[in-house]
Amino acid sequence: MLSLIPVLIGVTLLVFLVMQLAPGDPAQIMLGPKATETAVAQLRHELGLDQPLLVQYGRWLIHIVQGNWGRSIQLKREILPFLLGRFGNSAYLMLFATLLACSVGVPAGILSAVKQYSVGDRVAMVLVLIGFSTPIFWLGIILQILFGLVFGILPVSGLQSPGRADLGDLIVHLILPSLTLTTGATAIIARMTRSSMLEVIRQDYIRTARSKGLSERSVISRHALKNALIPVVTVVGMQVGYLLGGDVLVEIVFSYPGIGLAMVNGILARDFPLVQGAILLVASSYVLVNLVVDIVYAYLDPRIHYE
Amino acid sequence: MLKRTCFLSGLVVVALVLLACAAPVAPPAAPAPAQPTPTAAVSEGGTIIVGLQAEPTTLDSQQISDYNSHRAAYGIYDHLLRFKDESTEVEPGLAESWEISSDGLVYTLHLRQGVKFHDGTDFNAEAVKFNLERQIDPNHPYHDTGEFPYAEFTWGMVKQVDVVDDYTVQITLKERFAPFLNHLAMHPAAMASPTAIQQYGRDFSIHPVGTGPFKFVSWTPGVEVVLEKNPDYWRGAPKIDRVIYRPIIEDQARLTELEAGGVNFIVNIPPDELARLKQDPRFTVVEQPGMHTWWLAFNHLKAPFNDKRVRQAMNYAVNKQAIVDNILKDTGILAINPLPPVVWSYTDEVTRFDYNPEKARQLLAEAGYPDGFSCTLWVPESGSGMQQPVLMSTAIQADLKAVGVDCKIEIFEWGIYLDKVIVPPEEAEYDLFAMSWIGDNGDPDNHLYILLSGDQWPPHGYNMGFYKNEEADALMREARVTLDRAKRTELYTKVQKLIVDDAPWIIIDHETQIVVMDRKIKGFKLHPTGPFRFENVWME
Amino acid sequence: MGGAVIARSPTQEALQRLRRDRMAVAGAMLLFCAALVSVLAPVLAPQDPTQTNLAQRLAPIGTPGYPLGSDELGRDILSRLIWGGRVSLLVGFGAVIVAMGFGVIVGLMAGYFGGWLDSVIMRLIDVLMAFPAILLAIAIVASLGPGLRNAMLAISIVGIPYYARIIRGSVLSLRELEFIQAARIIGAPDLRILTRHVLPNCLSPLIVAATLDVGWMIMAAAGLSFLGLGAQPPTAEWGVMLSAGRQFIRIAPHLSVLPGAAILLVVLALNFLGDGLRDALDPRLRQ
Repeated sequence: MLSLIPVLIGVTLLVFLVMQLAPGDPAQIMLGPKATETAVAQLRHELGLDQPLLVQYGRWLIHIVQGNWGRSIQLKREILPFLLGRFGNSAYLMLFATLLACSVGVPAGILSAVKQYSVGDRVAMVLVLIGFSTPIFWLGIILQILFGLVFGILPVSGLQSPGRADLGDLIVHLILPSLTLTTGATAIIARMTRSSMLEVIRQDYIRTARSKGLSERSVISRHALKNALIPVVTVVGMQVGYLLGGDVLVEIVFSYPGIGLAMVNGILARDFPLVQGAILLVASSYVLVNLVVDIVYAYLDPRIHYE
Repeated sequence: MLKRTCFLSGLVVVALVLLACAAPVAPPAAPAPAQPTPTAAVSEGGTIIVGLQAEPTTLDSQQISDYNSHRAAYGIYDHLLRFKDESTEVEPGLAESWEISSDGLVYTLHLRQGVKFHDGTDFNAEAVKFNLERQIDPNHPYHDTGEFPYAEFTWGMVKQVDVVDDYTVQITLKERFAPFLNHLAMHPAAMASPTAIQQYGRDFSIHPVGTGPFKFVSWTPGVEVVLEKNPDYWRGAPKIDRVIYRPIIEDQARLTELEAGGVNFIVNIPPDELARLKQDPRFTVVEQPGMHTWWLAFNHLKAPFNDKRVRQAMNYAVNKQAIVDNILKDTGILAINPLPPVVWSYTDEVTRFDYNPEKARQLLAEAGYPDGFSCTLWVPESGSGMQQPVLMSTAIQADLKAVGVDCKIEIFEWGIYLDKVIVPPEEAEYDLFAMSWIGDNGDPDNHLYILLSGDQWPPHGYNMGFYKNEEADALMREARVTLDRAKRTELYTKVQKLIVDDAPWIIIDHETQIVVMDRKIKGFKLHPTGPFRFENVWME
Repeated sequence: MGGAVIARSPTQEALQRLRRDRMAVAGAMLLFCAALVSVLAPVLAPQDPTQTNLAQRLAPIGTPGYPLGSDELGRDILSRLIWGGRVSLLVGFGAVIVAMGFGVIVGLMAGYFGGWLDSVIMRLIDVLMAFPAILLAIAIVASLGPGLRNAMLAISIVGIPYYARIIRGSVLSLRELEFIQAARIIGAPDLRILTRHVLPNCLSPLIVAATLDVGWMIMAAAGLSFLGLGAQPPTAEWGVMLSAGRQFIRIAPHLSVLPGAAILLVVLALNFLGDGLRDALDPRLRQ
């Protein structure tokens, strides 16, 4: 847990420096082309942008520790509630996409491994690879036209229909973006499950189980699966961590108000406090997810112990 | 299979824990207002859902600097004066009548009585003083409740604002300024409730209160802005119940949403789809010539662009008509003049630079560049009013190459771009860059003086290519302080002829404003300044 | 596999195994063709890929003079695909080489020297990993300015942790092996041990990782192009073609389908080859 803090400081310091090195002045961008020089200078002063870099960073860090995330320069609102909302939206998408990826990827991987070199194995692995190799925004647009227009059964953008906020409506809106997002994750999970399963079923204890006359089904589900899933957990954890950061391309294509889009808009508008806050949130969640993965790991593999 | 189930449910727990710390996605749906009894001619009720290009950044009209915010916020407010429908002539707004002193310095406004803000606050002379001083007086107690990008432009010439009585306000100017009445109809002249500004402070930006035809209901960031009709509106309640603004970033996705029924009103139509939509019986296409110009500016301080022959040659080299016909289709009209035809005093009796590569080569040879030269062309990736900057610039690049001028395109994102092109002469690095302008107040001054006068080199104004013509400058200065419209028209006609012949820009087009909407929406008119007026619209 | 009469080197054996993997062979052949076409682009392309013709925009496949149609400015799509492949492959391989270069150096140092150096490097790697990848790339491009070279640099920086961790892992397991220990005891310089003994033994996981990564890099570059941060016009590049073509997906789908399919095929081929290499280099996985 303690390693969390240097990583978070490193991440925020890095984004701070990168953003400061970037040309473009948040005050100018915010006021637009029609603002005067004096107005821009005035705003720079109000925002503290005329202070030395380290002072700015230090001040930001102190405010964060005090629980003050500040106001967004561009969006003129409190950062924390805004970001939590966006983060929540990305979390819905992550949850849905991960469930989808696991429920396709894990069974496909197991079946492929059990029937290694069969036609089914080949076809499944080629299919997941095709999904993996498809540029994601392109797939998104095609799905929109197909399901939104040709079949006319799914909404093509946003998070909810106007005036509705119920779960059913939310889920319907999540289908296309998660489908687009999962092609990559499904492939990785399926391949990892397959190779890890292949390794496990060659182990001695599986041979023993088989020789005891247990059915193949029982050998796989009782004995092999749990061990085979250990590396899969890592991969799923990495995907969860990645998806919690929001996939910008999918969020743009589907106008999905996730945190990735908020961050890109923030970067383009040089909205330093917003980007810093967003990165802090995303990086913390990434580190936390990794921690959870380690715990799940320990549960699945009794050989691993953590002090 | 038990283990796997456990594993998956473990995952769900992780996700739920993460979700628990996140805010809910949506505000509780506001109750729909009671259905009023339909009147004779037009039916009442209905919701217009507008697909915008991007999320608004603020709903405080006085803080607005972009189109999306302007559009979403417009219905909440009234302005001191109002632009007439489809025109930039002014008519009474919250000010019923006005007088201008003979020296042109004092504007006396007589305000409408009995108007209330949505929160019940009275609209009166004190409210006007509060709204203007909030923007221009750094010592005003509520000046720090926002940033006001347009304050300097709109109110820079104002000396003071005085309350004469409850419903009379006097605005005194520092110097005569011909277009001032129009400024009283611009978005910084939207009247916001002083009580609400005092109550919400900086958060007024997300809790807007005005006197307009629609009341603010909710704003879910990234999802929607919801307005509902103001049944007590002083001009009469609007006929539709609600207006919802949704940001849909991708042009194709916005169109797909329209056709799938997720929205019923969209902006920025891909030009190549327009012909099809016009044929589609489900939709109505509404068009309005905009106060817009798109051009490439030369850096007049650099050789060879300080040579008029070179500038004219490059103007002849670009097939503007082909760009308009093939790339922009019906979304723009060919421009021959920096002033858009919808702005008064426009003349088409100017030097024409129709496509003529032969003449371009000849002029280049005369100027000493028989084999052409190389230069860089700066282009923003996208931007307010920039239409399709990369596509258009690539077409221009190919045309220029055909006469030997080899331009290397460099693309920047809009934010950096503005920072790099709006710079004083000593910092200017560019050769040639793409720019566009959308008029704010409908006055020729807002196009010609601000963009092309020698007084307006950055940092003072927006003559970013540093063009200067002493004769034109003198005429424009005179027109700025002349109040007689006929005299001004005469001056601006001369200015246009002088400027166009100098070829300070390669002018490409004037964008046509276009919206496509559900055929059931009736009575909608586009306005040249950009926002949508829904107060007189009804749905069949 | 017993019964081989002539002793073969491990490399030869791996190649032998690779040759029997039909998918890997197909992938390798496809890649070879793509590389050949890229190299021969100036000869093969029927037209100048930047030659516009506004009167012939969005021509369908099979239009005379435009075998694969024309794009939004009337440029020949076939010629742009051929030239674009050259750029896309260059970006993909270039980014991997840069990422691998840096990744190998820091990974070797961390794993071999250990101690505080290892801690510092690994914390820095953690920082890079905790950053959402594409956002880091966007932030880097935003500060360096858009363009193909900067986009390539940005995605290679994002790729560094991947290689650093692979190498560090291999080095950690190698460090304790007898021949490395022996080299240390006889006082061989560290640089020599690293380059002569450690690195060659890390190569096989590295080659596999790099092959699979080229595809990722090509797609990441396409993503940056989608955001307008990639190649600048009039340069033909698959990602740029794909993202520009998306505006015309309904009236002229071939504008985006063709470059999309080109990316898909190359990435797929890289994956087949990468899988094949993995199996060939790691015989345990074969039955």
